[in-house]
Amino acid sequence: MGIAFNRFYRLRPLASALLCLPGILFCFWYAWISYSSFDRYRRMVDKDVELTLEAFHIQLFDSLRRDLRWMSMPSPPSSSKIKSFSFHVSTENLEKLYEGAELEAARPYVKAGLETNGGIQEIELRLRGQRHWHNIGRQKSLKARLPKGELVDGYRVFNLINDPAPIVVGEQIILDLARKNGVLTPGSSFARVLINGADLGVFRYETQPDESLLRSNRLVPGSIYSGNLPGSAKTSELWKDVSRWKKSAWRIDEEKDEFDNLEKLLGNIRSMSTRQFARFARTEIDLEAFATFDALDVAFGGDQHDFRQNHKLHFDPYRGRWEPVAWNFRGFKHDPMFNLVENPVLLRLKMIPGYLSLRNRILYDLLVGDCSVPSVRARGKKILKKLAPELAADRFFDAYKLLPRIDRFHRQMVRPMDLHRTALVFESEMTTYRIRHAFLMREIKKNPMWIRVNEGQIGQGEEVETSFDLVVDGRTGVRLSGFRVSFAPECQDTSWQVYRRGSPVTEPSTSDHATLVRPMKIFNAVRLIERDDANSKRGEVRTVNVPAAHRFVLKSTCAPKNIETDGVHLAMGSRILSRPARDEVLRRIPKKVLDVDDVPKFVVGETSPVQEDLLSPAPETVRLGPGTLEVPTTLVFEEHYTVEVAPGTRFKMGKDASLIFLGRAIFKGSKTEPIVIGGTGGKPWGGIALQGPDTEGSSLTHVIARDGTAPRYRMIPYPGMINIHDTRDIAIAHCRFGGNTLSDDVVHTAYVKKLRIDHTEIADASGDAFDLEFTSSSLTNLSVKRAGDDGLDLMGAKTLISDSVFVDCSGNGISAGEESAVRILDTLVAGSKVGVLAKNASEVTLMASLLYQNKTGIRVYSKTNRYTGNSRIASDVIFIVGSKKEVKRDKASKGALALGRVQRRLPADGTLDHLAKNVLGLDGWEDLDRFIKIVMNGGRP
Amino acid sequence: MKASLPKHPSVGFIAVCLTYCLVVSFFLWGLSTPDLDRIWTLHHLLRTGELDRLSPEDKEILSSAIVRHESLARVLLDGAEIGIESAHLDGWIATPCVTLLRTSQSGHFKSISMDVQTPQDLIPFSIVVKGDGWKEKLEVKKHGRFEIELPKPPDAPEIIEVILKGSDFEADPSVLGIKMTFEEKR
Repeated sequence: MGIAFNRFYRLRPLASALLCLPGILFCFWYAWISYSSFDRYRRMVDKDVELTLEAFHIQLFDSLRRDLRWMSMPSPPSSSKIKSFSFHVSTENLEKLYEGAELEAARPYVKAGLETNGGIQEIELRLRGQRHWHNIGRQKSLKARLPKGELVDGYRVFNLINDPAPIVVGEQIILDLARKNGVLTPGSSFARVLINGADLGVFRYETQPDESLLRSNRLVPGSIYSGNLPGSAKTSELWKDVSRWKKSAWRIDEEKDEFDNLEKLLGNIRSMSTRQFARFARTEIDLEAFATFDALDVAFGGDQHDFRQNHKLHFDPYRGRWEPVAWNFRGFKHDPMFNLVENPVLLRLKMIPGYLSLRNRILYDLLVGDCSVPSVRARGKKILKKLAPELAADRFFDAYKLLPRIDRFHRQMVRPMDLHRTALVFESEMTTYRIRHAFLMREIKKNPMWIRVNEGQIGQGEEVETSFDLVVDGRTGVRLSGFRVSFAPECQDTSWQVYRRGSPVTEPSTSDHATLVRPMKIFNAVRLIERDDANSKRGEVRTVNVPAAHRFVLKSTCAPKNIETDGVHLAMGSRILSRPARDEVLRRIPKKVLDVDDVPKFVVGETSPVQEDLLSPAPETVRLGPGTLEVPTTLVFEEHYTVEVAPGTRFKMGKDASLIFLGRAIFKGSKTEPIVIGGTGGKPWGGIALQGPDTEGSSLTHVIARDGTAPRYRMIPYPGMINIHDTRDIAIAHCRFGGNTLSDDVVHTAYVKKLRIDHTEIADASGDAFDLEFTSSSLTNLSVKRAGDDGLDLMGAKTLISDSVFVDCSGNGISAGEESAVRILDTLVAGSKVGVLAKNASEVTLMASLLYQNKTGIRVYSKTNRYTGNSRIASDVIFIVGSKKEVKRDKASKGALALGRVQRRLPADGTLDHLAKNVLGLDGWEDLDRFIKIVMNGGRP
Repeated sequence: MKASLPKHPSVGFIAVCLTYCLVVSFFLWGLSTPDLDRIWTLHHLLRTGELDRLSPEDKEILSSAIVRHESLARVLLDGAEIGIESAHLDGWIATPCVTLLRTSQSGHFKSISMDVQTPQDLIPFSIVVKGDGWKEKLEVKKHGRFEIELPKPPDAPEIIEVILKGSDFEADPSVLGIKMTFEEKR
């Protein structure tokens, strides 16, 4: 030891240089990594930033900390709770993939393989995202695309994103809440990604808003549009030019490049008056969905859905309505205002009296429920607990916003993360959320109702008129309940009544209180002011609430001493009383407001109209008939109308004329006086539509409708002569339909709950007789004769069919597709191409039914792998008689049949008696052939 | 025979020792937490209430950083000229020691106002307000509104501490019961 030290003590320069080298090289190595990391970031964000000692220290610290963490990091958990994607990419393709980082657009897809349970699935990958965190490090954000017809977990296209948000779970919390509260939301979660066996850590997994999103939500394919402007474009272009939008889903291939409905929406936003836009919003916008989306942005301080970007809109063809798709919900911010950013759709909605009350009601419900501070905290902690073991084993776990916001450069620097920082950031964001939550609750809960009794009374002696204003100043409107008026002691038995615009709103009263004769809501107004922080993303203007005065007149036989109003706070649902208006409130009442028929220009100073509820007009009843009614052109009954059609009414419809009901329709025909709907002069008329939730409870009884085509109304593609869409509790009984032309179906339903059809006949259908999509129904005593395609075509439907007859259908007698669940009892299907078909994960149960002389008795197959799971047909005893092929199924459908006993002869006497005698009216089964022949011959022997 | 050490170490020896001292210093410096990183952490620890009082070292780091980076104080105050860095809910303080920050532009704020609603069993107590080279003390004997005047702000941003002394205070706004606001000159 002494000798060694001695030698060391006498070390020569050359030897010492060799000894120093490793240390020096080690220092240079880390110095170089730190410098190049800084330089790479600087080149992407701001070339002019200089390297200071402080900046270098940060980079060195990060490099060392990252490496130390790598050394002590645990392995990924063996039983992972998150998805895992393992890709195989050739070296050449990997290079090509990463070269895409340099490109702003048109990044190339490269071929790759994805490990699945069944082996290696062909897939394509490309880089995505323009911001530096998407591709500056090893974790690069990817977009994956499977070949057409292939799906992984129901999706063809999905994204794996390197999300730099330090809260980690923030966006996931909000998206989960959006999904839970009925907003159409693409699937999202977390996933571990490996490329060629190299673990790249945890990514955010996000599915693309395309057809898969619609089908997984049990919606028919419709249009989805995406609005994001490139930096070079002017902001107004997004709202004027449909070519700035991308279409990622469509109903049929022919509509792939059609943007008509979007063009109409953008045009309406630009050019409709408030009254027109309110009507449009009532009937063609899913206001609850938009209000919920808006409420979530308000609750969490979201600022992503601005004038330029992050807009995704879905148009459902059968609902005929627009709804937002939840996308890019960054939040957990707070400024003392409700909407941190606006956009033209939101501005238009806010200018409608009533919209903000709806939005704030939903917001209040969220704030006391799913979005309460403890609920959000619990939700976040649950996700973090699940993710923690994965993040602890993520080499590339990083985030931005890990330095104070002294400038954009420091703020957006991506730095290593760990669980301790994650927990700290989560708590800090929850603190912000708690502050915001308290602010929003405080604002919403304020009593908005004030009263100003105007000076000077008119009249004297017998009648006195006192005008007063109810001033609404707050975040929500009021549903008025009643008035309380007091008089001087000497005014005994004073009679009084309250009027608005010349019409009484209360009954005459001699007590101190009177309730309203019909519901009335009054609202505050909204004014556009200049934004302090205006820019092209946030726009130039934002909205603020201003008081609105609603004038009433009290007529009484004595001058009142005091007037008070009670009502219901529209957000909280609690009872509130008016208070005398303060000067500060009265001063802010705008002198000029838009008229309800003006078109807003969205300039500073514009104030929304002061109006009662444009979103819920007062209900009215219309009575039609009896007698003959000539209908030369399409008649549309708005949603606040209940239409009652008297027995014996005869509609003589003009060419292509239709009856469109947006509210309840009651067709009260009878056996002796049916209601008849037909064309004029042999020309085909249009059709009938019951469209939208306000048609709930409609019924058609003893109605005969023949020789129509299909209605044309708005942009809804009505496939049937009679269409029932987006409603519930509909009853059709003792009706006869048929003879349609130029339409696919006689009766088409979509998104209907509790449909009941009983004792109804369809004959001579050009295509399907009944086509039920996403409908729950009970069908009894149906008779379908001579259908050009299917007798009953079901998609995503839950149906019970009993005591029914399907004869001579060119397609399937009964077709159950797309995860339908069907029970068929006491039913005959005869003379059709296929008796009963089950496809795409549908379940059919057959009981006491007969399939007679169909080309194929039963068929089962899987048409698309979009619906995982086999179809199944089950029966205890099934009669399949006179078929060329009794059972046909594809390879995938082995095991799809649980048929019990298959009987190949007609039932013996005493078997299926109910079907023979009660349903078909036969004396015995020997009469069946004659019965069918008569049906096929159009009712003639 | 043992060889004896020369009087002086060789140049090579000195070079190796010096080099590795520098290497170790380099890495020790590299592993030390950068000021801005520490301030980021302190900011979050203070606003969540996990930390209620800055240590002298942290106070020094923050003081020097807010001088070095002009915008740092305003960033920590979310754009305001004076504000509470520690945890609070709408001014109701959540920790017995409260860290405030003010910029050199905050001259129009003349005082800190305290609305004391502390539970009676914790009264009396004293409030000490310490800034850069100044200190004020307030004796609280009953509920009410109290004001502590602020001296003219210095040329650089300043850290002010408000410390409650005398009772066993919990870090809970409902126990502390003090709402702090800043009064502007009229």
